[in-house]
Amino acid sequence: MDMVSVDMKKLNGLLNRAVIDVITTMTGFDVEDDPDCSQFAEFESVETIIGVMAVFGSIDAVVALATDINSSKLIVAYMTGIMPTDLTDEDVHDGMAELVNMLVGRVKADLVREGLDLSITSPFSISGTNIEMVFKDRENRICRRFIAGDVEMFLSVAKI
Amino acid sequence: MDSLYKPFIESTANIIGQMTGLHIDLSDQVCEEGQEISSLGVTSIVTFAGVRRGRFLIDMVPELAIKITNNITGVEYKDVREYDVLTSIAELNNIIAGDAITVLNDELKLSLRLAPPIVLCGKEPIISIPKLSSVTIHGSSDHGDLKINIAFEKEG
Repeated sequence: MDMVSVDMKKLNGLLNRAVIDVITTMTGFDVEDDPDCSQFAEFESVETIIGVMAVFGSIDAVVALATDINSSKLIVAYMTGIMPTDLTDEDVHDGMAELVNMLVGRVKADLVREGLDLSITSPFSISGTNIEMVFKDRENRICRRFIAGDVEMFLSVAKI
Repeated sequence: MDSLYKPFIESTANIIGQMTGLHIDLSDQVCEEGQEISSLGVTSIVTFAGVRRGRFLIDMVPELAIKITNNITGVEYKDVREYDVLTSIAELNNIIAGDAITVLNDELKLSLRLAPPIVLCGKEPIISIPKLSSVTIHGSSDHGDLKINIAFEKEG
């Protein structure tokens, strides 16, 4: 059977919608999205956490969701019902990985319903300051910024 | 479990040796690792899926990453954050993991496929892989330390 391909625009569109829906549902905040990711550079100077997952099948891509550590605590607090001050580092890491897992899992479900094929890898997260994450193909990369109250996030999708 | 890890350990030493001429001395000890892994400076991660899902990570001090890149490319790089340095480490990881999963697919019929590698550097990065126990093998070279970390999800 020939594999039907998905283009980056469609994958990105589905992920954008998933981010907005999931964050709105969890936090109750209105989510604005912005294609301008130029603020990511200053964002990298603070402690950052990035949830990462790879997908392959109808499209091969890496999905990364980055936010500052305080925003991630707020998001994970909404996800778990635990106060941000009571969250351990492990809770925050698990929460960010789970958030990416939820987003990509939702997109996978959408695509599978359309008869497409998508495998997903285990999610993982990375934290630290001034983290630089590099993908080999710099051309096929889409970044989008999301703002929800005090939470600011960057979604990056890189096709490989 | 050893049969899952061994191809990665052997491929690491062999491929770095073949591609760079550097000798990597990998420890005989396989250490159980917790969820969080502290990076030595430059880390490349490649995830894979098939009959089992898992991840292979190679982590090294910046000096070794630069030396490996210089030996592969023949160009003298000084800064580990240069694009060519980081992508060389990602490509090295891709080749090592590709070699190892070819062995696993041939011997154990795991139908593993590699996802694209990711490479990162930063100030004291922590990498966390939830719900995935892993093993680490520490290594050393004349240009600094490295470690590899291998994880497979439990069956079922």
